[in-house]
Amino acid sequence: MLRYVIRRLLVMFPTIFVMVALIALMIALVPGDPVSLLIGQEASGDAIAAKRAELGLDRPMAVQLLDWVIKAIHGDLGRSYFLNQPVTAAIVERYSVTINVTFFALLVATTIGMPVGVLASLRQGSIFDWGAMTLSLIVLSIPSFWLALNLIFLFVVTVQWFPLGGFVPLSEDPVEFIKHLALPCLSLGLAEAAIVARITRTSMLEVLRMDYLRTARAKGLREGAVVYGHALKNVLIPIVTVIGVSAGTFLGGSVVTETVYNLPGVGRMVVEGVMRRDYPVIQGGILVVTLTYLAINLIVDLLYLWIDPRVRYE
Amino acid sequence: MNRMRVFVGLLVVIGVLLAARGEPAQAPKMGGTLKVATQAVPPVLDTQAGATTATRLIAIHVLEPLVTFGENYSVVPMLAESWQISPDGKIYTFKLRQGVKFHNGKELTSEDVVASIERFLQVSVRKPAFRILSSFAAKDKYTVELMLSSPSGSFLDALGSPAGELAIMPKEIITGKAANAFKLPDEYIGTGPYQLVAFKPDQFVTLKRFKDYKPFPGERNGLGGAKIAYFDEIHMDFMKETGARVAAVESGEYGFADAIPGTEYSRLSANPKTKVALTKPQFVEHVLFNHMNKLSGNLKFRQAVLAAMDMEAIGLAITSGTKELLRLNPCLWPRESVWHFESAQANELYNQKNPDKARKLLAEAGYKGEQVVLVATREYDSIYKTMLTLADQLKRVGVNAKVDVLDWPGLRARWGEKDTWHISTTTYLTPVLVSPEAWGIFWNSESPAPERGGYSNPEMDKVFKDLSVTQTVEQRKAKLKDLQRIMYETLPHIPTAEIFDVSLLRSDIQGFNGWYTNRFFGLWSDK
Repeated sequence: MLRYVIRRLLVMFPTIFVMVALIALMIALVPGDPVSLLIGQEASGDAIAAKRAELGLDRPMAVQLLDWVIKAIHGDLGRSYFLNQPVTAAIVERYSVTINVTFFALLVATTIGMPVGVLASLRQGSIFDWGAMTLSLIVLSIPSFWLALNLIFLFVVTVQWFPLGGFVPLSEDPVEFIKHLALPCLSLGLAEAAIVARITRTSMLEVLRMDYLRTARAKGLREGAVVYGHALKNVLIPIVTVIGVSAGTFLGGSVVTETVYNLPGVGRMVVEGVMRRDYPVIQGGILVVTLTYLAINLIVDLLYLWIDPRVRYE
Repeated sequence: MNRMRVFVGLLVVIGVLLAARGEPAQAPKMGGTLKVATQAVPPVLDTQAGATTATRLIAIHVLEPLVTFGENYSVVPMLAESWQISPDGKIYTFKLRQGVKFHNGKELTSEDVVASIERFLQVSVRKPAFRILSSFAAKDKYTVELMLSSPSGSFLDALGSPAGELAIMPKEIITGKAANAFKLPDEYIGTGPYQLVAFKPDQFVTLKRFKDYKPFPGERNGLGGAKIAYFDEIHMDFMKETGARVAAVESGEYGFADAIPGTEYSRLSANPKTKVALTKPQFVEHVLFNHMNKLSGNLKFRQAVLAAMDMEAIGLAITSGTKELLRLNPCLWPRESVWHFESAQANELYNQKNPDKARKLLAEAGYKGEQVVLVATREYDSIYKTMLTLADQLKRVGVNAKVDVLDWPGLRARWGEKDTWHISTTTYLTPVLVSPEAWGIFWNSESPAPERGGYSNPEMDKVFKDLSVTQTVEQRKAKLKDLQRIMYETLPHIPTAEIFDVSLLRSDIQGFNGWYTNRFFGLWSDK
């Protein structure tokens, strides 16, 4: 397995290279630069030229890219034009927010989605099954910003249980940490729970008809042991796959949720970087998001080994 | 029974009299925190080096210039208590207010003013406005003298402009400081009513009341006068999502939110928990032309566009149909400005809504149905809606109009191209409130701004040159009338409707008055 992991890590390099080349191409093709946004509409021509020179934007794009790559290899992702801090520091700061949101959103998704999916499969065709699957379809159809704004209207404006948004670190105030994360995680987690519930139900229905479960029941095993010990373990692979994909997406930043709840996460940082042509943030941010995806993919593949001993990687 | 009637009658009379007195005016209360949800995200805080609106919103609470602007956009004193201009118009002598303290406890002196001007001339994005400043020196502890190479009518405006402000900071901090090199929050020091406590780029800024602030005597007057900090603390969260800003105030957690969409105006006006305040006007969409292009560079074509335009329809599109949030004004300066005037020419040409005249002018322009490209961005709703509405109005007079949508930096880059666009629009107004000749960005052939679209007119250039040395208000106003006349004659661009900004306040917040920029000094909570 170690050889497999090393091989996968080596394969990451060409992927990263392609990403870096694509980012550079995008920056070269998309018109506009950050200077006028940085110093304002009233800036003189001299001031604009001086700022461009200061930021190194007057150099050919190939030179700028090469400079960035060399620095990136040494761990320096440059300095943001707008955030007034190194991109690495900005990413680290915002990643703590994104990781917390991802973790708790996935917690919401699995704690709601899996039990609902299992129950729906065990009571196939019942009112519960019909209701749960209809509800999951509705939740999946709701645009994320609409769900987020309605949760704000209900829990912030009407009953006033939670604050509007922002982020309070766990170390600063654990209660406020939970209160501030509750709605964003619920927003993200509910949609994810709907997917998990549907996948769990479908996979369980397939497994529940298998001969080995009939054998298990014939042996006199309790229904709980049959379902949770034998059936559920065998549907974990598709569920873990779905959760892995979502974890990658969430860790790349849930832009809509971060914007609506005013969370200083990675996704919002990258999107705002694109909008104002903050090239170091775009390059550094996308590089880190790419690495995150690759890492999650690798972790999910390794989890398959643990879940299903029959899986072998050559 | 009669006694009872008399008693009840007396009670009624007393009640009526009490009611007639109305609510007694409440005295402002000190204390508390004002939480602000603002869409403005400042890229930097160094106001000397950057002229963005978001930077200004924070700077006006922390830093102060020598002179600033009053409610009617005339120059008023701030750190200078008075000034004198020599008869030849070349020497400006400023007397500083005594006993004014910086946030670090040091007293303001002329040395700080000189150091601040020196640094400003190194880092400012508005250097061209200060080319005529030939020298400056401290005459004594509280007197500063500025020498100009030629007399100027706009030098005081430039000195006081809040955009890219010549803020006065302590000499020991500002000397030799590169642009945006302040250590925050410790080195962001001024003499303003609030001092910086914390700043997280893209997230929030926190200000606290400066206990040794020395207010200017009198009432609050624009950015001048008495700027009293009633709230102990102001915490601004940068919140881009409109719905979240509205919910922030409706929930009672925040006291103020800016840039509220017109669609919410009626609902929020009826909500007893909130108050809606208007800033009249906040901006105007100015329809730009590509003068480098053969078609849009043709005056007859531009006149046809002007003849076809329905300004109210454009305004209603921007305000989502809310009439209370727009005003038609043919003059380039709003009624609130000291520079506003009436003009028969402008009244005749603005908002013609005349399709027949437009078709005739199009024929005279030799228009043969070629595609006319209007470029817009969705990042600014008003730009997008103006272009969609104008495209519709142009289609009705036979123009083959198409709207191209780009992002904001892409749009600005497109304005520099010759053949890829004909018509666009940009949001503009605030610079001309504090500098009436700031239209130069669009019309002066020396302007590097892409909004100019290649427009060049020697007559217009001459008026700008004359304006730079014209001193009295009357003489300057005459020149501004010339500017507007040439603008309507040659149509470098077309102003549309004035749009008001909607701000939302929690019902207990008092003292707000919508103006050029939102101000949080002078506000208090009556809770």
